[in-house]
Amino acid sequence: MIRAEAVEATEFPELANQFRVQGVPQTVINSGKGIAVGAYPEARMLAEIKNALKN
Amino acid sequence: MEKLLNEQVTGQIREAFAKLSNPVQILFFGAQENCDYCAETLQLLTEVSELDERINLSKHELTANAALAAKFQVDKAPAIVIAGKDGDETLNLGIQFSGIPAGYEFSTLITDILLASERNSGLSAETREFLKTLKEPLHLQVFVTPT
Repeated sequence: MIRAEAVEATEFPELANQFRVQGVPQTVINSGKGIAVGAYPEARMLAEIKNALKN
Repeated sequence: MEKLLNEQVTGQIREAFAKLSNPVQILFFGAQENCDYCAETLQLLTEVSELDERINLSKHELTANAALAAKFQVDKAPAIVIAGKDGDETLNLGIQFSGIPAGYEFSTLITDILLASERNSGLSAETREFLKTLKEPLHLQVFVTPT
């Protein structure tokens, strides 16, 4: 149900470009339904995930 | 081939692995073409898995082992799946890497192995409660760089 994938941005530039990755870490939730730029603390990431799943 | 990990690093990893509770299965997925980092990634995983007998490494190929890749939702190479191991059974914990876990990401790899062994995400009760209510799959892609 939950898949966490670390993507090495320089090895997969097309994917990184698709999600406009300019700095790391950047977390992409369900192929762009949500995007979190920077290192989020757990509670904030949870809020971001909840928000993304509503869309 | 020259080792990627020096003695100081292997010593630290051995120390960390001494606390392992359950065995871990690492699945490596490579590809014949367009995979600049496949050989290096496999070598890195081989060196790590040799540090503790509870770390098991299996090697696969994205197209030749397409069914297995699909089962773990792997679509890139090199890819690494960090799974639990229960006897002959591989437990999919949803942890994977796309690309070589080099530089800063090497410590992420070691942390993931420890997490997979403990089978404990370390997440708060609130987060766990929410995740239990998920009605659709959740895919988190964390873009990283080795530097």
